[in-house]
Amino acid sequence: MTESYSNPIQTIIDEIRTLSPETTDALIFRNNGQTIANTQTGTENQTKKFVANFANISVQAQAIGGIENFTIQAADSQLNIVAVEECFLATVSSQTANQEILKSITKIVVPTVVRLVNQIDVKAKELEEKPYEELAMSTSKEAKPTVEPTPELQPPFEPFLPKTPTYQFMVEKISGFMVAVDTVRIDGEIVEQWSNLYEGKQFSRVIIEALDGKKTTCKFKAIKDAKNSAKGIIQIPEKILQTLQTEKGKLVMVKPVIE
Amino acid sequence: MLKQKNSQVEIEFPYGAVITVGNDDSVFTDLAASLAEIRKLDGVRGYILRSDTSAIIDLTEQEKIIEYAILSSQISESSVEMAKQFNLTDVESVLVEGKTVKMLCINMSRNRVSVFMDKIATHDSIIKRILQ
Repeated sequence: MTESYSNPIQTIIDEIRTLSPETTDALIFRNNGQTIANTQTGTENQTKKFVANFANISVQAQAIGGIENFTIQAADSQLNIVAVEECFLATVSSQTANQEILKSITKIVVPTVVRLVNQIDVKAKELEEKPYEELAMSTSKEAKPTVEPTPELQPPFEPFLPKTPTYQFMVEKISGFMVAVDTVRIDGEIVEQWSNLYEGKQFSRVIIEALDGKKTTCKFKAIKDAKNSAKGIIQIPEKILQTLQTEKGKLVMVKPVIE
Repeated sequence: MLKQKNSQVEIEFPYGAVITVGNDDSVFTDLAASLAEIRKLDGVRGYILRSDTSAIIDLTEQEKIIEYAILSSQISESSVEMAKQFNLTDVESVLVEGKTVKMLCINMSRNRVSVFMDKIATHDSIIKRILQ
């Protein structure tokens, strides 16, 4: 039992005189002479001498299985020593002391406190002795904490959209006075498929990617009255062709930009 | 059984022990007689009676006679010191309870009595009987 943990025992020893005013002295000691707590009525030497005298009896008392209770009955007072865990509690009280209260203190209250302090002390020693890693491992083994799966951050809800289809088109060059330089024209059937696919969604732009990886985004228009010859064709103005560094007859990948 | 022969008292014990003492110590003689009766009580394992000149040992556990005698002597000496330290005056008795056996020690003038009994045996009536 370490010194720091003797404080609760000292407290209960001090309180014995409150609970039983006829008790004049109280002392807790070990058989090896170590005094754990006392009411400080005698000198240190007196206490040591007292413990030594008791120890002499205790050694010989192995013949009767060790001392559990020891009482010196005098004319008007008594000295009682009771075994408490690995210690002894000594009390000196007058004949007028309430024996029931005294019995409760010496056989229930103090032993309970000493037992608790001992348990805390043992735990504290274990904590001091065990290396941190071992302690962490044992704690994890003992405690087995249930790991609550942390919910992953969910992206804000979006309505399900089908994967954007990519179509391959053959390039045709488009030119003329009425041709917008930033707009391509795409096979009307394909545009209709996109419209069906993304029902209710607006899309007016497409991403065009040349085979060498060059990309650009631009407006588009459907070739409405497409003839069979317009199937799979994308008509691209000169400026965009230059951007993509492609030319007539080459293939490009096209997919719509969903807005 | 007590038999008086001139100036001596001969005491016979049920277990065969016979001790002869001087009859000038009437307290010893009286105690011996009382203890012989107490010995018959349920739970009493035996006793040791000692004075400066004489002793009676009557114990069921013969093999523990020496151990019990040493313990009895140690209690008589140490308890006097312990009582002094806490200003206990006129000590009447010392009761020591072990795991299975309890012993009662009483000092009367120069005579020391130790009675060994089962833990569940009643000691209050034995104290009264010895002190009367």
